[in-house]
Amino acid sequence: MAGQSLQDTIRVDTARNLYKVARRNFVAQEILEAERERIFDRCWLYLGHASEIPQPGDFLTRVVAGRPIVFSRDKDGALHALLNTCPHRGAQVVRERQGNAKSFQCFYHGWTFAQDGKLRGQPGKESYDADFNRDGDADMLPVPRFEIYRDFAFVSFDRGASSLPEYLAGAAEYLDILADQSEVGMVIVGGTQEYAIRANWKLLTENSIDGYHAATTHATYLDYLKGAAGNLAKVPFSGVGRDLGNGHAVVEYRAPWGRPVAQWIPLWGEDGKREIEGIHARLCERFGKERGDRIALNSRNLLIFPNLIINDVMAVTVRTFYPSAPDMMQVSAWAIAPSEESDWARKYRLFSFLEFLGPGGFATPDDVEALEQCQRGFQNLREAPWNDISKGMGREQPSFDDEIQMRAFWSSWHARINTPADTSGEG
Amino acid sequence: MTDQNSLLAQWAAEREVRRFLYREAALADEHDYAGWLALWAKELVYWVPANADDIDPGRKVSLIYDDRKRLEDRLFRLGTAFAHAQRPRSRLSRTVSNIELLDYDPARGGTVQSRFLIGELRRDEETWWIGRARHVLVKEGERLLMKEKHVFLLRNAATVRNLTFVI
Repeated sequence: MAGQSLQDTIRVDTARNLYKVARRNFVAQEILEAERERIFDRCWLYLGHASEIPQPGDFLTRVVAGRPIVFSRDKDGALHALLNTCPHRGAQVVRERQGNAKSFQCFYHGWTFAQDGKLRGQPGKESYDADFNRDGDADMLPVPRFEIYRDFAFVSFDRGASSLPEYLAGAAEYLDILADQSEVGMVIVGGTQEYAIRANWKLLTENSIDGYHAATTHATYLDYLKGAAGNLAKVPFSGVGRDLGNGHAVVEYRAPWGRPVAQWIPLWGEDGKREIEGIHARLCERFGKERGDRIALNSRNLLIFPNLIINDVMAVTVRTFYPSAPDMMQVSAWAIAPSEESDWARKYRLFSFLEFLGPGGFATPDDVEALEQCQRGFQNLREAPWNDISKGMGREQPSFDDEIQMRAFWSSWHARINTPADTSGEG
Repeated sequence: MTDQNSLLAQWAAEREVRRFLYREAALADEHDYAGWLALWAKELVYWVPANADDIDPGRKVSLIYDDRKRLEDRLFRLGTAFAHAQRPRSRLSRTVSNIELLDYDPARGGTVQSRFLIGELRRDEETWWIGRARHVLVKEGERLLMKEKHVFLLRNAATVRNLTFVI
């Protein structure tokens, strides 16, 4: 059953510009198991941002693809990603969400490790052979692969994975566009929004880069912006959708909402105008007018395959999510901003962020409802087995409200799900 | 000897606060947005922090951080037919207890702390919202009004479901 079904997960008819996705992909347990083995165990996955652990000794703990990980900065400032399990008997060594420590100590038997995972000592050392840790197997293990691109730290559990820049393909340019918004460095603004959705994780991947649903699902949000004088710039929605390779995709478009980097709206007043125009002008100075305008004025919803979303809209959110079951996901979302941003701009950024985003926002809850309604609708899958994502397929340059982004995702998903794991490289 | 007048005044103040909080809870459970909004002072803060109770909402991400305009918009939106996450609406039933008057002057108002337990039923899903609330109340004439309400969720560092009702 599984062999046949993995082949028939998408149906593409290029002659008729039709692209269909099997609804079974969202509900079947064996699909989730195949995803764990062939996608989450093999792709580059977002761990965190360097700004979250700025000082030597800083650390945080996070679960990535089901693995508890310690993300740490050692005394020399180098970053590490360690599997959070004691090499001795398995307990999680670091139990705090975040902090600063000279070393990590497993409380069970008292083994102590440096921030890079190297064993520093264990009680009763004299009971072990002198060369006990000769091969380093009593050190905390690093994740198999760990690379950083412009302060975005990624891990892969596949030793044979290509380099991160190669994996990022066309998406790297969009991380550049984000990183270039600061001359000093972007920072994750403290705090995480965490919420659960009773829907398949891929529904959120699609939804996060879907320019088609905004006008209907989020009508109240857009009406709300329209209703209050000064909330909007005189800019209509327009833009493009792009396939960035390797399953990554983006929608890049002009939108009427205010952007702290850097599109002014009347609500922000004359002082705000000076500040926003200053930010815009400085970007043009650094990168030329074309790129400066693009960074400042365009909004972007970026997918880095399979589950990292960076939406640079009325604020910037970084979001990742994992399935705990075919019909359940847990979402973590952060806000990111230029570290040199003024208090005024930061306040407006957070105000706009909360307005749209998160479980108490004006838009995210309606997305959650939409995804949960899809998941419920999929119970009809035996009689109604296919989703359609054909919009804009015949166009040379699909629009921001077409569905090329979803097709980019699904084509890569299909290729990966049909590539059995190469077990020869496993260490 | 205990001053009976001061005991009586304290009891009256506690009773007034308790009745106010019960009324607020009932209006919120009933989705009576106009009635609930009428309990607020002109300038207001309605805040549900994320991750910890003591964050600076100007510098860190919250779940909700509303001023009057944002709160009015929130309630207006919930009142339309297009707040999809509340179609159908959640059925709500909440208990408010452990009410403590902290730094409170019956003539002017002050800070009140309480605990809550909210049962939410939406379609076939039951969700429990548990936590502590801090109200800053002001006395305007004979009426008590909310100036600030801070809601500290037990789950503030764990995943939550849609928070699209009045908490």
